[in-house]
Amino acid sequence: MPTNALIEAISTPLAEWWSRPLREVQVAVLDSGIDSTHPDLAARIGEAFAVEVDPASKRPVWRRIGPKTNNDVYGHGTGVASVIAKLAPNARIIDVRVLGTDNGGSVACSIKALKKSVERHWPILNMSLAIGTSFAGRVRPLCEAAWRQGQVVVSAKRNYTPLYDDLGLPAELATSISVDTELLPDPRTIRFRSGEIIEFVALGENVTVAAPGGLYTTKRGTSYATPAVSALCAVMLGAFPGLLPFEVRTVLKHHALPAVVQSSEA
Amino acid sequence: MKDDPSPLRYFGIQEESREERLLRLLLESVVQAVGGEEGSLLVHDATAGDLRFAMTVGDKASEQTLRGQRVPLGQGITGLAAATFEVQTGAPTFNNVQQTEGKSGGPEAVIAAPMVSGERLLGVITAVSFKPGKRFDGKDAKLCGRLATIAAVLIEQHMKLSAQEGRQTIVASGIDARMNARLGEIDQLLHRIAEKKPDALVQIAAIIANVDAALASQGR
Repeated sequence: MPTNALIEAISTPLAEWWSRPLREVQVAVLDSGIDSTHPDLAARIGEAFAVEVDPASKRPVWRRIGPKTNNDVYGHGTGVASVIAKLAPNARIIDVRVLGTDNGGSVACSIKALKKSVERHWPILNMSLAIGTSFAGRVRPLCEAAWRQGQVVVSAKRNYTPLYDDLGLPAELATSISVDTELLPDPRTIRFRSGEIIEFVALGENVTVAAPGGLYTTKRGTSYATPAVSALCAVMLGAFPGLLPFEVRTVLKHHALPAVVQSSEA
Repeated sequence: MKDDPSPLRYFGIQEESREERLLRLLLESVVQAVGGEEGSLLVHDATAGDLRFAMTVGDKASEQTLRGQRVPLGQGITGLAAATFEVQTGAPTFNNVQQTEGKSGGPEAVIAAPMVSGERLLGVITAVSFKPGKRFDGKDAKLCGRLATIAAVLIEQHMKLSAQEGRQTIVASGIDARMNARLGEIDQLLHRIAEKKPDALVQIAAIIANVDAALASQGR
């Protein structure tokens, strides 16, 4: 039997979600870090962490970062977080930096960060990154654990890359709400592609985002479509608390437009 | 920092060689295909852990200035492409959300595609545009990524062929038996390293290239 929250979320037009009382929802952004000194983000960051490879042990180490710092090593995570902050006024963003200042250990760091995020029960995990499918043995159990305990994992399809013919993890997993990019008129508009591995499409082209140092820029790619869906999930969970991940997916599907245009990188 | 005039030597590619000209042709194709004005090919220096400008097309002065310069893996769009193995695009930064004030210096749009062989980063191809309002889109990313893949395959094949030719030369050269046995051992070791840690081959190739360069300069 459907829950009241599910029935309400389905029967309430998506545009009206924002006019309902919204509970705060934590959204962990596993990315390159966030500049929490940016005016658009300063009041929106709950906690900040970093996972880095310890030079001595060569193992990823989880550590807390002080408040009001620029934790972004590439400018990617700040942009991603700003999409969530703009669309979901109730989102409390958790900054989890998984990319180091070089490309060493980034997969190990991403997996460690996912594990820690699952342990901490943050309701939404935004992963605008793709881990190679050869790591499925380690990523799948973590995403299944998140799914079972009610966490929503939203992840980006890998952008076009010459190396991999896979779509990336967690995007390929059924326990992830996975996102592709398209030029859509509104960041609140999503499309649903029935029968595809990457089911959802959101606005990820010409997106104005925050950049470290209090700046703004324009970005494109699945990385910036994914937080639009995370933001919708945050507003949904804020307006209709208690929804489980499969219900969140159902509600998104219900309010999505059918896919009519191929992804820009398909 | 500018120190090495020919970073392509990491791949055993000589200046003015057929491979060098083909890479330049590919780079020109990238720039033309995405509607940019300049493009660069950067080589991944695994020993130093950074990228180095190897060639630039579109502006001869830029090539002279840039060649040999190092770019840390963690820097900018190029560094992000190297770190994520994905094509990345970038635009200038502004002081306001309307993007009208205080544009950052540099090009109007940047695109960077990694050149990857297996799990190994070989380098990055970039294209830039200075046209006001120019932005690279998904189609540009796909094109740039495809051409970077072709460049990576070209480099990979060249390295494999060079290694093969090197082995044949050793066998055919009739070097004395002791030397030949020693080279055979090195060959076996290299094979073992290639199986267990292919990344290390780039470092070994760089060391050999350095020794070779030193010997060549002594001989001059």
